[in-house]
Amino acid sequence: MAFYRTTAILLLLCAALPCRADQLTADELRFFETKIRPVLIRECYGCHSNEAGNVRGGLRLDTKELMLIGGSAGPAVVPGDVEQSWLYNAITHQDFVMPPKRKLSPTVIDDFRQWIEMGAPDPRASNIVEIRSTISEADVQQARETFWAYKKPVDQTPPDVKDIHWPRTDIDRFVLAKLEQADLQPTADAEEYKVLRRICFDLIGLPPTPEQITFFTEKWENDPDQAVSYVVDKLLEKKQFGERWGRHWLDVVRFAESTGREVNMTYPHAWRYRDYVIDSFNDDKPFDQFVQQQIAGDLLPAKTDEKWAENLVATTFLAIGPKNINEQNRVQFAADLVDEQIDATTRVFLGTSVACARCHDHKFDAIPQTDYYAMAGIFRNMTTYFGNPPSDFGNFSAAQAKQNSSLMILPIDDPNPYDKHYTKLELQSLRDEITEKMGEVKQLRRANMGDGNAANAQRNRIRLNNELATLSNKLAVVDKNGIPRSYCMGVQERRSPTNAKLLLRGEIDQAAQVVERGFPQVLCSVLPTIDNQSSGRLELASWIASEQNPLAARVMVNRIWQYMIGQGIVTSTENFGTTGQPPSHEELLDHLARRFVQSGWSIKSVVRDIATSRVYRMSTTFDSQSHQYDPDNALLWRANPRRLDAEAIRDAMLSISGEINSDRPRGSEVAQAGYTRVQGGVLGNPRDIARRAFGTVARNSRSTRGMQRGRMDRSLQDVARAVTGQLDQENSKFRSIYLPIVRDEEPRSLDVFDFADSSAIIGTRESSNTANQALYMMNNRFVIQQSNVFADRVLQQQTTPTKQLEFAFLLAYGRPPTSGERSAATAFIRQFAPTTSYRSRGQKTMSAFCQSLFASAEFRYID
Amino acid sequence: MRPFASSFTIACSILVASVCQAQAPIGPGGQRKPHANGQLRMEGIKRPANFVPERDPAKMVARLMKEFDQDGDKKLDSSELMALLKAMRERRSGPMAPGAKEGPLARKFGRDTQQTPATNRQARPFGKDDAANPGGDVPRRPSAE
Repeated sequence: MAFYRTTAILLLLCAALPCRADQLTADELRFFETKIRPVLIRECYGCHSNEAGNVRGGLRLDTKELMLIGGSAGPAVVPGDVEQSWLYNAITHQDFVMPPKRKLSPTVIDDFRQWIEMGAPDPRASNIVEIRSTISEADVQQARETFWAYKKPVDQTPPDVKDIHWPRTDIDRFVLAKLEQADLQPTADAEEYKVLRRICFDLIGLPPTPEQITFFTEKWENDPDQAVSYVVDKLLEKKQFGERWGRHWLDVVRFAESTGREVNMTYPHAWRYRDYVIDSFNDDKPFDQFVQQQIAGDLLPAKTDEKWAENLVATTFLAIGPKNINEQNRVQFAADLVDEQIDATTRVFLGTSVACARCHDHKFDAIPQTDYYAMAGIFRNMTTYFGNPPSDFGNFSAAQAKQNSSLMILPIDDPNPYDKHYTKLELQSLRDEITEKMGEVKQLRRANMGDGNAANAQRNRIRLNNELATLSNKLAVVDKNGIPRSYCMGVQERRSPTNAKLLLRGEIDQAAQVVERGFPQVLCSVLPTIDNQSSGRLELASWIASEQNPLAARVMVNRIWQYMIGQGIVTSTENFGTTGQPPSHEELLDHLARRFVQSGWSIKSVVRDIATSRVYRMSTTFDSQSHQYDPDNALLWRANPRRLDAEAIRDAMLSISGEINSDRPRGSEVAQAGYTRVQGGVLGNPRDIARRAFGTVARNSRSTRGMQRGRMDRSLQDVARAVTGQLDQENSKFRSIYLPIVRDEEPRSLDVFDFADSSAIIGTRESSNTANQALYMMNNRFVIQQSNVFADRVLQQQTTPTKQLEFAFLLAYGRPPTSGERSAATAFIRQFAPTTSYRSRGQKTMSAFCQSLFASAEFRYID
Repeated sequence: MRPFASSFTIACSILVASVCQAQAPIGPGGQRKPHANGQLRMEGIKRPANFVPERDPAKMVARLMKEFDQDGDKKLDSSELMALLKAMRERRSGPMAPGAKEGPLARKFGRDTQQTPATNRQARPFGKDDAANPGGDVPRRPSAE
């Protein structure tokens, strides 16, 4: 009995093992301080610490948090796991070689192995602190109750006015009431051709045709109100409406087909989102639905695959922003991505700059830093798709493209029209090539291990990696039969959502308290609840697009007003906060917002209301007395003269010449180029493009040998243009909205006329008047070509000089020439003609005359 | 019977003690001096990346009994004990000579990890979205209603 008791005791003693301590033990601390920290300081901190300045590889090793975060490759240290620790990989000279010029001693390497296996105990941990906001709940409550933008819009009764004959709609009453209060009078109506021109450009972005002008003029003489109504209704039904208003929306949502920044990689599937936006405006999709699709389309119910695909494509809104894919630290990249998404969502839909609270409490609005991280918790729980999928050989990226992403496979068959179908033989050849190149990489590594020629090895490695990336990207987008798949950008919710930690000063290694997912408190009288299993994105989308939200409807109707009238009721269209401009007509804004919601969030109904108002058809006639009182025309005593935007100018020239192609092109130039880097204004490798272009020229010319100098020059010009003008698309005839929009390489025809910065949220474009624009209209090849075709049209359709003159004016200005203009034009033609060769005198003279019409202010302005 | 029971008990105790010592979290100063009772030298063991120390000695004993108790009498006779001790010795001494049969305790110790081929790292590409599927991701279908 005693024996067995002894046995039991022995077993129990053996069972009493020392447990692994969660806290640092004295031995662990001593081990770190004597064997690990000295080595880190001596061998690593020179390039991988805060003191180093330029942190190599995005990797810092001077704090525990940053060591665990790691750099571009991944975590430097995974406690307990030597295989997954890149630090160990590097010091054992596997995929990385650290220190760069020598290897640590086996003893030191073994110390690090032991240290990682024991859990990498590290006393260099930051203390978690709790950041207290300077903005109290009382401040938030007060702002919510007193600031105009945070109070829900209420139904407004249109005010009484003295001049009861002037208003045609409720909008007119609101405006007139304020004018009468200020003792001002609205100007008279504009001439009918100006009204028509204004309606046509505002609704469809094109000038009226001569037939439309004739029809409208007759109707206007009988009943101006009905004439306007009729034309507005007709234009709202046209597909060009979506192209015009879709472009406004693309300005706001920073649409582009590339990442921008230092490493500019294309988004070959961004065109789907462009088409989605155009279709949504044409279908007059309820705006609340439009909002929900873009923020949480992947989570919305869908009965059919087509609807599901549409919802997925809509979430491209969250993926399409600019990205610094050169960022070496993946945690920093993720934080920046979330920040960009928060900024876009809150400024586009709410006119509120929540992203200002990333590093500190908002300086002006009642938005504490915790509110920002409450939203960060919503957006961090999703995967954003913006790159190119990996092939089954792995994920290879071009040099410097440190951050990448995949794509979503669409549930419908709708591939990129330019994706190549590969035969089985071509597929195999592609795979063989990849395998061969991977072998070369391995050989290179072995050959250069211990070799001092690191720079050469690096260059070869980069070249091979780039080639592998190109090949792998081609293989990745086709199935095993070589048939291209259908992809889209967008987002997908991740499982098991987690909250975000507040980051002190926005620094990724300065994490403070965890913040529960939520919305900006100042905008919610009742905070919506977010389920634990949900990121909150669907709830956010529903809340933004609801009547309970004080801002969404106001912000959108203000945008519509701004596009039609030339300035918003709130001129700071992205800032409805305390530092934004107050509304010039607060009641009118509320009235429009309520009408918008009551109409079922119909954008076309708001457009119609504005276009049929008396305010809209006022003339731009200057009045000095009114100007003295209200120089900014905030009270709208006249219409605002506006310069046409870049797309309208280009499209108008195409429309007038008759060359415009009204069909929607499939895909885009960027889609054709595929996933590639933009360099020097060219999609892909400039040499390949030049080779292809020269091949075309040579084929067309049969042979360049014996070519006359002039013809050779033109051929070379064509080559140069094909390479350098690839993104300018001077020969394209479709509408400007379909031109390739590559960040930092926008088409010249748009850029010269203040095209929106595609890396920013632009509610209101600049409108400049510069010498560049004049020079463009005088010398640009596209303008000259359109002038030629315009002239051909005039000469073909009208037989006498007088009728030709009138026809040209009608097309360009929407009206016949005055007698003074007729004389001036005749004089010009008489003087110009002798300067040209006899054979083409008529055509060249008319071309010059047509170009002068294009270059004039009246063509470029809506009066 | 009693001498055998004593031997068995002592052997189990030593086994548990030695196994537990071997499985102990590797503390600082892992280079211990070898002891005459067969305690392992930490520096001799190349633990595999997926090594998870077994902490519960009772479970260890149960497993060993299951492995080596060939006749199922819940006791280890001399031959079964010899087999167990031999397997432990083979584990201590590292990878076996070519042709040698691997014991049941043999773990997949990595060779010197400094020589892990780079191609083995293809499963974890450099700094990219490790969870991305080749050819793209199939989105999760939402509900119909």
